[in-house]
Amino acid sequence: MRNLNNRGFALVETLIVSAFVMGIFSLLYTNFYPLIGEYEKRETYDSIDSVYKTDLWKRFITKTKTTITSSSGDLTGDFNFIKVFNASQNGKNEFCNITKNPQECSKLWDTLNVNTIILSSYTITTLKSKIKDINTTEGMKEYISYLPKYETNTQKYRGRIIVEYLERIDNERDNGSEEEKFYNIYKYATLGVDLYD
Amino acid sequence: MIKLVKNLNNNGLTAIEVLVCFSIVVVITMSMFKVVNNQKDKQLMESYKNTIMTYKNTLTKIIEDDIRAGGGIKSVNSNTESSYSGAIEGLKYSINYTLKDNSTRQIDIYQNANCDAEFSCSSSSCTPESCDSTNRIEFKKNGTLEEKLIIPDIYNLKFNNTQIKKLNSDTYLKIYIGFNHPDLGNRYSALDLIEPINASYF
Repeated sequence: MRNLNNRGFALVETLIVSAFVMGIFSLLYTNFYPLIGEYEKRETYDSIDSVYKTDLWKRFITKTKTTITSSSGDLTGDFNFIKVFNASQNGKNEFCNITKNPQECSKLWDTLNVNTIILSSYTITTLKSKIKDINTTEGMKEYISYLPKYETNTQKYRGRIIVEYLERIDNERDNGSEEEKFYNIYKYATLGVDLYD
Repeated sequence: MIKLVKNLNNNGLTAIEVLVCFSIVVVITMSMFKVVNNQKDKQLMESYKNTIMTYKNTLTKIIEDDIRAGGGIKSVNSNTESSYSGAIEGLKYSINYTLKDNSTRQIDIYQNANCDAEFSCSSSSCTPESCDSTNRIEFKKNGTLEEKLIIPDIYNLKFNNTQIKKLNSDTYLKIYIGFNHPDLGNRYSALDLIEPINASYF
């Protein structure tokens, strides 16, 4: 008992322990903080209105027997295709031309304010692996990265439609410039569809 | 054992040590208080968002599933906007449509913007006017009230910027109801339904 060290901690020991604890806290913070941003971003993923809008596309594609052939898309194998239609790159006309009713398709595109449509096989393993090379918006890339691979296809859908909608929100609180009064948000949804070949 | 007790440092803490410890504890407590307070505000905002989201999802599901069950909209019979007598500055939007199974639906949207107490005075006395400040949606199937979705006043949520429009040469029906909250503005959410009218693909 007499040999007990009763001198307490040295300054260096205290500093080392404090630095260690601070390191752990900063590590926790840097890992936890981006999760809050992710959560807010995902509020626009598969929202109920965008899912019902995508259901209109599903009905349209099914009824018009929309065909995907090797001449109409980037086929990467049997029922393993990826085709991107961006509004900014004449995607509307390109997409509507492969449907059997281009006029109705064009109306639906404009009414729903579509920004991008991606048609792919039901399982999106290939799409997810090639996402960096696909020419589409950053928001769409993030959404696809977030989606599961859909490897279990109980309903036997041949294809999948992934849609990006543009929504313009009137921000009542801001009385400033036009940019402050209105702002754009993008919403995303996906559904399995029957695409014909 | 007695020797051991005698050898212990029984001087206690010096005033300066106590002061330093005390000030450290105060600083930590103050910073924690700020963090906890911020989190409390955030939690409140989240509960508002949750209320709006639940309301919107319920409403969307009722209307959209009903339209799909009826085979889609066949025709929109009337679409009116009128002031609502029960509230000050209140507006009532009505939409009347027929589904492909020939059943009719009516949606009444009561958007009551303001309900400040006002008095109606006669020669003898003044009494406060009755004022209905509830924002609600009434959904009628074949003339019978099926659903009455009311937002309780405690949430301070108001309908805002309601629009019922026919788009693209009357081929699409758009029902838009903005949800306005004093702390969230219009930024958070809106009911935004778009349905084709008598579409061949539906």
